[in-house]
Amino acid sequence: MLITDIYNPNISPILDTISVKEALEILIDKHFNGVVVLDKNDKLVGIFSLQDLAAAIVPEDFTENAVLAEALYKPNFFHDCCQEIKNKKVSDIMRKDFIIATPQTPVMEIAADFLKNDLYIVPVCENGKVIGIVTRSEIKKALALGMGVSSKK
Amino acid sequence: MIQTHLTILSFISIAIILTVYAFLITEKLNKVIVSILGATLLIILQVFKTASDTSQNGGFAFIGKNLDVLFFVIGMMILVGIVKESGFFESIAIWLAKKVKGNPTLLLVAISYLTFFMTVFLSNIPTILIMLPVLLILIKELKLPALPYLISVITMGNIAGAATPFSDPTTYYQSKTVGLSFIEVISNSGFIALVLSVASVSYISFVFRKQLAAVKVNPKDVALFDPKAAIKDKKILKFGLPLLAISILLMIMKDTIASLTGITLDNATVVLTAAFVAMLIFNKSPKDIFTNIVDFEIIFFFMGLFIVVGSLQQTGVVQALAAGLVALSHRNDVILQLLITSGSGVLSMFIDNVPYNITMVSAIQAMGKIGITIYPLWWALNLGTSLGGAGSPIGAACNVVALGLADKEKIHIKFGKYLLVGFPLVLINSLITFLIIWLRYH
Repeated sequence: MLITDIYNPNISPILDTISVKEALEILIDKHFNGVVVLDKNDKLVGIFSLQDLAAAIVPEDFTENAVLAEALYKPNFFHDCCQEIKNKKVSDIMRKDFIIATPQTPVMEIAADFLKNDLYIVPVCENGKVIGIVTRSEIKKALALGMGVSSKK
Repeated sequence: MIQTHLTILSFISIAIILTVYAFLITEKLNKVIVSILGATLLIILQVFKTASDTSQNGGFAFIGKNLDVLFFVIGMMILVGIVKESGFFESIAIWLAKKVKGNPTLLLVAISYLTFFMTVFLSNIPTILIMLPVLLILIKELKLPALPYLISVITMGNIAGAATPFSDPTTYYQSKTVGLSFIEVISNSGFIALVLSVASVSYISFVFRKQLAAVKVNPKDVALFDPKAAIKDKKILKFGLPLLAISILLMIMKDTIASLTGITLDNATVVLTAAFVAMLIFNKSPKDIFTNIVDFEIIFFFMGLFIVVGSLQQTGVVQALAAGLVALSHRNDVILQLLITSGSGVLSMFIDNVPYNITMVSAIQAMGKIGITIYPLWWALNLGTSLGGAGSPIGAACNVVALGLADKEKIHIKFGKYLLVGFPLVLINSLITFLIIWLRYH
C-alpha cells in the first residue's frame, strides 16, 4: 500500500505569520488536530499540531517530571501560560523539522514514523508542491483498507 | 630552595597540559577526548619510563593511586541517582516554598540553604538536577526575577562542595591525598563555607533588593502546593533514604570506628556497597544504571587528568611551579596564603577546577618539602577553587548544568550580567576566607 492510495488532497494550510490564537481557532473550527504551514510564497515551511501547541505551553520541567505539576499547583498558571503564547506567531511555535511523504512512499514507512515521532500530520509533496496530507484519519483509513473494514467518511 | 631539574620531558609535559587547558577553555574539542589522548601521548613519549618500569605502568600508576576517587564518584552518582527518584528532595523544596508563603526574600534564603545542605551530603550536580526544576517553575509561576535565585543556588552549590570530604570529588581527592580527616575538613573548610554562605546570600539579597521588593506574591498562589504529590517512589523513600543516611554516617564516623574497633572503612567502599545494594533492592539493572545514571565522561576525564598532572609531578614541573609561587610571595606565609586564596578564586572562575586542584595539591605538597607551613594552604586552595567556581557561568560544571536547564525553560541569563554580580562576590568571599584562615593560623 502506498501513500497515493490513502492521502487526503484537502490541504487547508495556514500562513506562518498568523497568531497562535488564530491558528487554534482554525484547528477548532475545522476539526483538525494538525495543519501544514505555508509562507506567503506558498512554500512549505512547517507543520503545526496540537502537540506543538501543548509543548509550547507546558513548562519543560513538568514534561520531564509530571508529578511536579500537582505538587506545584497554582490556580490560573495554566491560563497564564496560554495567555503568554497566544499572540506569538505560528512560525515561533511550528515544527520545522518534519518528514515529507511522496505518493510513492510506502504506507508502512509513514505509519512507523507516526509511532516513533508521535506525528499528527505529514505533508505529501510532488514536484516540490504540497498536494495533500496524511493525518491519523488517513492512517485509520489505511488500517481499514488493510483489514477490509469499510471506513465511513 | 626547591631543586628544580627540568628536562626535555618536563617541557613536553608542560606543552601537553597547556594544550589540554587550551582545548578546555576554548571548548573546541571534547574535554574527555583531549584529556585521555593527552595522557596516552605522554605515556607513548616515554615520560613515565623508569629503570624498573615501562612508561605505561608508570603512567597508569597515577590512576591506580586514585582508584578510590573514581569509585567514590561512581558510587555516589549511583546511590544519589537512585535515591532522588523518590521525589523526597523536591517535596522538601516545595514544602519550604509553601511555608514561606512565597515571600521572595525568604524564598531566596530557604532555597539557598536547602541547596547548601543538600550539596554537603549529595554533592552539587545531583542537587542542581533536583532543585532547578522546582526553582524554575517557582520563578515562572510567581513571576520572580531569575538571576538572584540562579546565582544564589549556583553559589551555594559551589561553596558547599568544600565542606566535607564527600561533598565534592576535588575535596575528596585533596583530603585523601593529603590525609585530612573529616573533622579537620569540616572544622576548617566547612566552617568557612558556612560563613561564606551567609555573606553570599546577604550580598545577593542586597544587590537585588529592588527587584525582590518589586515582586508581589499572593499567598494564595502557593496555598495549593502539595509537597506530598512530589513523592514518586515510596519504596525508595522508605529504604533508600535510610541507606543514604547510613552511608553518610559511616563516612563521617570512619575515623572513630577505626580507632575504636580497628575496622578500617573508607568512603569509596561505603558508597560503592550502598550503591550496589540499592541496585539490588530496588531492582535496577546495571545496564540501565550505567547508561542513564553514571556519567562516564567525568570518570575518563579524571583518569586522563591523573596521568597528565602526574607527568607534571614526575618531570619536576610541579616542583618548579611551587618554587615559583614561593618566590612570588617572597617566602612570606601570609602573602602566599592570600595568593593561593584569591588566585584560586579568580582562576577557578574561568578554568576547570579539577585539573587546577590536582596540580595545586602536588605543588603545595612540594612546598611543604622545603619547610613552608602548608596546613593553612589546604583550606585556601579548597575554598578558593570552590568560591571561584561560582563566579562565572562557566566556572564549574554545575553552573553549566543549572544554566542549561534554565535555557530549556526559555530563561536566558546573559554572561556579562552574571559576571557583574559574580565577580565582586568572588573577591568578597576570597577576602573573608583569607581573613579567617589568617586569624586562625597566625
